[in-house]
Amino acid sequence: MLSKQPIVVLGMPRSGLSAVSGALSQLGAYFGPESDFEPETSQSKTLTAFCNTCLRYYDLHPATIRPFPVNWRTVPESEVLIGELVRYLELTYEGHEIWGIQQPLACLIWPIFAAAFEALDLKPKIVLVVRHPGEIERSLSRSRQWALFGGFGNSIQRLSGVWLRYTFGALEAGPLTVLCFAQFLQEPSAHLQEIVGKVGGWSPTSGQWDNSRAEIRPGNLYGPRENPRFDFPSILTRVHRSLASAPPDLAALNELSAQFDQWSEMLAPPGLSGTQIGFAWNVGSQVQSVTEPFLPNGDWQKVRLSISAPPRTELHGLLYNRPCRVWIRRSVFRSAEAEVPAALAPGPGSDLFERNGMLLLHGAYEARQIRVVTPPGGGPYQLELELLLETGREIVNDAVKRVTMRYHQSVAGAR
Amino acid sequence: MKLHARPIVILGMQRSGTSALAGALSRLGVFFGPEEMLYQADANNPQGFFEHRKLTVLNLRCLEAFQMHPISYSVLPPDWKAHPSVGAIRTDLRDFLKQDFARRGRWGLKQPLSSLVLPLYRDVFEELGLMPRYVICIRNPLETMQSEAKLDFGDSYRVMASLGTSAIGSWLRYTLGSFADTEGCPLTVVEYERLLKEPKSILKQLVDRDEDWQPAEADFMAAESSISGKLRHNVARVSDLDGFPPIVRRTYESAVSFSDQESDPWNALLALHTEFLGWVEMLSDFVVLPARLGLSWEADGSRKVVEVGYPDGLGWQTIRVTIDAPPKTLVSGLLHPLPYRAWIEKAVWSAGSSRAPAVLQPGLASVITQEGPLLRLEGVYEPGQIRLTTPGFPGPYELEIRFLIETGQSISASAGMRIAALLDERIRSSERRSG
Repeated sequence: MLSKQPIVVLGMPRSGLSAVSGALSQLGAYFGPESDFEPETSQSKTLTAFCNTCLRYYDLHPATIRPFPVNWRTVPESEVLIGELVRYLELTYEGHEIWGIQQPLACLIWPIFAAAFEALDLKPKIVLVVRHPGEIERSLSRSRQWALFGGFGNSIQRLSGVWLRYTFGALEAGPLTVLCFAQFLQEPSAHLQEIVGKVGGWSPTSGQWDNSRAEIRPGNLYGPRENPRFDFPSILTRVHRSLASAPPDLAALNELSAQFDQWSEMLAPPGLSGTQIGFAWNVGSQVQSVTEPFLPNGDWQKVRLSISAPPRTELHGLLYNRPCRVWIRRSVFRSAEAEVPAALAPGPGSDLFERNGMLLLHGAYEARQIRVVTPPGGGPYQLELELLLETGREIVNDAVKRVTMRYHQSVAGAR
Repeated sequence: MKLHARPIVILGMQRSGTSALAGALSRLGVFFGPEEMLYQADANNPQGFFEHRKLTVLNLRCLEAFQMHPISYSVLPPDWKAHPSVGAIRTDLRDFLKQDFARRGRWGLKQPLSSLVLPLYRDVFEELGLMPRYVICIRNPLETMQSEAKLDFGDSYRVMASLGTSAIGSWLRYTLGSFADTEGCPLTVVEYERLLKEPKSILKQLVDRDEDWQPAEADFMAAESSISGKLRHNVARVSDLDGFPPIVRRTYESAVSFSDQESDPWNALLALHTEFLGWVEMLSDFVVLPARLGLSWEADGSRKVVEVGYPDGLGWQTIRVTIDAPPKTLVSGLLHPLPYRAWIEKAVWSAGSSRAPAVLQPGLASVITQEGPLLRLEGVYEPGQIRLTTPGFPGPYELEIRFLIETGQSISASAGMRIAALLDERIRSSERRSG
C-alpha cells in the first residue's frame, strides 16, 4: 500500500531540485534507494530512464520546446507507459510513510505522471523549484548534462524556450508550492516548513531539522542572480518575476502561459503529409495495383481498398511514404461470402509484432513494407485496415538504423 | 539577350491575392512565363495561377538545401552564400531568368515561396543589373487560413493537413520576411480587400510608378474585370485578430498602412520581424547531439581509437586529429551518429613537411559523390561509415578535414529510402536466384 501524499519536486535541471529533495530527505522523506541515484543529481536512474523512454516515444527530448501531444492517450503505448510508472512507484515506495520523487523531465511529460497518480489514487504535493535561467545556464555548462542540452545552441532564446517549457509543464500539474531557489537558500527552514505542513502527519524531529539545514550549502550552490551576458526575452522575465513574487502571481502566469501556448500553436511544425496507401500484386507477368488517399490525423483511421486479385495471391503494400510506426487493431478481407482476418507480414526492412493486444508495424519506406495473402474464397475482396499512424524524427532515424543493419547482414550473408 | 530591367516581383502568403494581382498585371502586359509553363487554372484559382513551374522547382530546391519547408518559420542562415548548393541554384535561377524572360518586354515573377528565399533572388537580380519593384500582397491572416482550409483538391488528395493556427505563424513569416528582405527597395503593398474593391486604383498606382508603362484603357478594363469581388469567400474583421498574440494585428495594421512615401516606413515592421524571429528561435525544436569524429585502426594486434568532438550545426568547420598508425594502414570511423549530408572541401594527411590528400571511401550504405570541387558524403550510422588509408610516408599523421555537415528529417528520410531500396533489390535478386 502506497502512502497517499507523495512530494513531487519539479523544475528545470540545475534549478536546485537535488538540494531541496536532499533537505526533505533529511526530514524523513524517502526519495528512493540511494544505490539508484545519479551521483551528480541524486535523481533515480530508473525514473530518468523511464522519462527518456517516454520522451523518445513521443518524439521529444530533454531540451524540447514541443508540448506533450494533446491526443497522447489515443496512442496504445501510453497505457503501457502508465502501467510501467505505476509498477515503479509501487515497487519503490511501498511501505514508506513520507516519500517523494524529484525528476525534472516529469515537467515535459506530466500527463503520464498524473495518470499514474490517478491510477494509484495518490494526491501528490507538487513543489516547483525555480531558478533564473542565467544561473541555470552557468550551472549546466559546468555539468555533464550540458551535452544533453546541446549548449542550447549558444542561443539565449533557445535556453529561454526550454526553461519556459519546463516551467509551464510543471505549472500544469495543478496547485503547487513555488520555491524560488535563491530565496530557499536564504531561508531554507521556512520553505521546508511550508512543504512539510502540506503533507499530513509529517512531524520531523528537531535533529532532522538540524540535519536538513546542514544539507543546504549556499556557498557551494548560489551563483550570480542573473547572467549579465544575456538579454532575456520579456516573457521569460515576466514569468520569473511572477513566480518570484509572494504569493506567485497566478493570474499573470495563466496569461503568460496562454500566450506561450498560442505562439507554440502558431509556430507548430506542419502536420503529417497525405499519401496514397497502395497494394500491388502480380497476375502473370502483369503488375496490378490499387491505391487509396490517406491523410494521417494522429487518431484511429479506417482504410478500405478494393482488391480484385485472385484467391491466395500475395499483395505487397505501402502504408506511408516515410518511415513510420503503425498500430493496426483490425485487418480483414471481406468478400460477398465471408469476412476473414488478413494476416499481415512485414517487408524486409520493417518489423511487425504484437503489442498491447494489437499489431505494431515499424515500417521502413520500402516498396514491400507490408505483405498479405488474399483468402482462399473467391473475390473480389475489400481489405479493411484500422490503423493509427505515427512518424517523427526518432521513428525515421530508428528506421534508417534498422535498414542499414539489415543491409549489412544481407551483404555479409551473401559472402 | 536583353532583360527588361524593372520586373515586378509579387510576394506574400499563399491565398493572399497573389494570383489575382498577377492575372490583372498580365493583362496590362506583364509577362509571367509562357502559357504552357504556367500552372493551369483550377477550382482554387479559376483565373489561373500565373506561376511558372520552373520557379516553383527552383524555390523547392532552395528550401530543400536549407532544410526548410513551405510552412517554414526559419530564415536563410546569415552565411547562406557559403552553402555548397547555392552556387548551382543561383546559376540556374540566373539562366532561367535570361532564357525565359529576355526579349519579353515587361515581365514579372509570382511564386509565394520566393518570399522565403528572397535574399537569393536579390543577389541574382543585382548580378543581372535588375531593379525590381516588389509587391507584397496582404490579406487578413484569418481569411488566408480559412481559404487554405477550403482548398479543393478535386480528384487528387490533400497532400498536407489543413494548417489551422499555424497558418497564422506562416503568414507572419511570409509577410514580415518579405518586408525585411525588401528593405530599401521599391515596394508597393496591395491589400486584398482593396484590390477587390478598387482594382483599377491599385493597378494604376503600380503602373504610374513606371514612366514607360502606359497600358491602353482596354487593357485596364480587361485587368479590372479579371478581379472579381466573388473571389472573397471568407470575410474576417481586424478585431478578430485579437484572439492571437498582439504581433498578428500589429503586423496586419502596419502592413496595410504601409506607404513608400513615408521617410522610413520599415521601422515598425522591422521591429515586429525581430520580435517574430525571437519567438521562432525560442520555439525551434533543435536537437544537438554530441558530434564527434571517431576513427580506429588495427596496430600491434589491438584496435586503436581516436576521437575528436566538434560543434554540430555551425556551418563550415575544420577539425584535426592525430593518428599514430603505420603507413598504408586502413583507418575507418564515424563522422556523425545521425544520418547526415556532409560537404567536404578538404581532407589532407600531413606529417612534418610531407602532405598527401586523404582519399575518403564510403561505408557499405553511405555514398560519396564528387560535386564540383567538393565531396558530398551521405552518411548513415554503420561500421566503417568512412574509410581512408594513411599515406606512404612515415607518421604520426595529422588528418585535417574541412567540412559542412547537415542533419534533418528530410535527410534521414532520403537515406532510409535509399538503403531500403538497396535492401529490397538484394532480397529480390536473391528471390530471383532461388526461383
